[in-house]
Amino acid sequence: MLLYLKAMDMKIIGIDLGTVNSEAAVIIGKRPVLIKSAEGKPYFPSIVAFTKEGDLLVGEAAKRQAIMNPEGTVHHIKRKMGKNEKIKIWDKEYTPEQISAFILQKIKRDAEEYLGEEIKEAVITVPAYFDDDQRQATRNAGEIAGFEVKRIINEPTAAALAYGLGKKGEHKIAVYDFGGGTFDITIMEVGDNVFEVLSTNGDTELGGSDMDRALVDYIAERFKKTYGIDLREDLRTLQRLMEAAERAKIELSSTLQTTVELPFIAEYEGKPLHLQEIITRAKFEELIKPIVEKTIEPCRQALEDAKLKPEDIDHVVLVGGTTRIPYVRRTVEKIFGKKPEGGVDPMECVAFGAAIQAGIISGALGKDVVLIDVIPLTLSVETLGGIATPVIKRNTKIPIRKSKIFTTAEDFQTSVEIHVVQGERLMAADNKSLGRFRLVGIPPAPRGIPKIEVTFDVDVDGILHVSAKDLATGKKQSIKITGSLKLSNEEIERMKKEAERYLMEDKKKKELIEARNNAEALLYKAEKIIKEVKEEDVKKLREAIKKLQKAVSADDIMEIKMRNNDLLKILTEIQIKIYGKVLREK
Amino acid sequence: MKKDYYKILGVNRNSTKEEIKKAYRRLALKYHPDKSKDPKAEEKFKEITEAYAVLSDDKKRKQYDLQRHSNTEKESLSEKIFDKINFSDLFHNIDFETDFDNLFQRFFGSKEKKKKR
Repeated sequence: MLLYLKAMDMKIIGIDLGTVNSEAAVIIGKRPVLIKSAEGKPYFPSIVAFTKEGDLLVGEAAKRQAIMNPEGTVHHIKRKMGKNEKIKIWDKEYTPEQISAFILQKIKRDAEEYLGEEIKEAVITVPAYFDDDQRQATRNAGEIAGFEVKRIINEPTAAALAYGLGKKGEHKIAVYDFGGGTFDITIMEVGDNVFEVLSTNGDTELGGSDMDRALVDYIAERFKKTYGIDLREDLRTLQRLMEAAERAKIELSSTLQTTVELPFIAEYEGKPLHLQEIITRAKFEELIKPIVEKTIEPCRQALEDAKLKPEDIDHVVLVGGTTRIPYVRRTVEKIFGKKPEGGVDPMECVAFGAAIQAGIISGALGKDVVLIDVIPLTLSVETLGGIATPVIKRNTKIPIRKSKIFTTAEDFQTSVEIHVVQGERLMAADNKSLGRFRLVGIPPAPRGIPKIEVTFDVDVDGILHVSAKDLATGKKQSIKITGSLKLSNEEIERMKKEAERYLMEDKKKKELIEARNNAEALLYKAEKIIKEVKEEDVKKLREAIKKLQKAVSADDIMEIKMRNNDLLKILTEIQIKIYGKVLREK
Repeated sequence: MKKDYYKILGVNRNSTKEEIKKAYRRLALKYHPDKSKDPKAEEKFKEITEAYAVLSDDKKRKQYDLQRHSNTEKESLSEKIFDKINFSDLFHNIDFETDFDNLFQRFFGSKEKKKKR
């Protein structure tokens, strides 16, 4: 029985780290359960903010103040993951990993509170079409937040796991995942408890936020035409517009017409201007058409790669908030020639799937299920003339190892450079560079004679290890591809410490608020009781009250706690006196 | 020298596609790194995946069978192919995924000399 308890101890949570919102789930009693935020919601807005005073706000709290503090608020950080960009907030710079880590840290803390136990391990989802750098950045973010990241899994795969778990028979499933910031299509085959990804495709920069933006542009252009003022120029106004556009978009999924109303949006010659714009569903569909149509080609390509026709697909599963839009649903129906499945919550199922994968790894699921994923993008080496020569093609199942033999292009060439790239383009320069290294000491020989074996090894996490071996001398060079950003372990450690510092500050703040609340309740009680006590005690009580009030106004947590105890002691004594007396009178 | 993909999947040369798929799934549940803590399992699973990638694809399976057949005839198919195909073709014919890989000689440029041009 002890063994069982020990296994239950190691809870791994599944996290859907989204562009707009994030969700988390965990396996409880062999079923995935959504984790509620401290604010009581089943999701966490993926928003991070710093106040002017330097306080960190994450999630709901950051969302609430976004309009008032646009300069200090970061949205859509997922779109920056894996890019060599810094985000400047006030006078400090952060990497996308650090910002994402703040969101993950909030999820970690709230999950611990919700579950009443420490959570150390996590499975985090990424869009299937994320490249190596973007995956590595996500993993780094998890580590900075204090997680041991057990696995990075693809969002549509996770959704298919949640959908297909427990279903009998053979199924071919297309998962159409259209979220706030990314689009993915994944074709899967399920049978005999094996979930096999057949192909995946997508666009990491296409999502519901682009629709919000299209709506904002439409409204702003019309306003500009009438009043000559571009509402997008002011950050605060733009933020108000973006939020109004998102609301209108959501409303238009259930109504045929909505009104965007923003009073006091601008000023003209000292007079306030109000914005009122009627948006019909037809107009909205016209605006989003080019965005939605961008999803058609990836779907076609994914079907082709899976060697399937639309009619071979048994179920179409929709994932992501953007799939709630009727026009998107109609487009999906057209692509696959069948209605998408109902009964799958597009918002929850990715987190559920992540929790299921976590359950597979930890054994908490108790089921004999396995998920076999693929690499989304072709891995190649650069050869003569800058050509990207594939070693492992996209949609190859992982883990996998593949070798190819290469040779020299010049007579008596003694070293070769192995440049590893990722992507589907023919020229290496058009693909994403993952890293390069040299193999030296090749014995001089005419070109074409040396044989250099290049081996690509992709592990179950999708992390690539590359080695090159001169078959004549046996000389070997190898690297682990850690992404072109290459955050060192020290850097991750440093960022982790920094993130922990904010966590400590938060804890202290929370402690202070709690102490203050306790003190205020006690003070209230004391004020009430003071009317009933004898002269000699009044003085003592007054003094204690004063001291505690002073401590509260000074925000000194140690002092508050001490003075709180003093007052409590006096109050207890007095109460004993009063009740003792009452009892004796009886 | 060549790996016996049939043996790896525990099927025979006449096995149907369906049988091969079933065999692959059975082995995946056993050897996938998530299912087995044995450090050798991952290596084994990579072999299984490699074998399945070839045998589950009609075209590749045919090529593989052909190559194994000619190997037993002690004739190096590789050299034969080499004579017939020119190099520019080889660069584009990247669909070829099996152990034939070593037929393709791809060239690494030398950086120093490129600069001179």
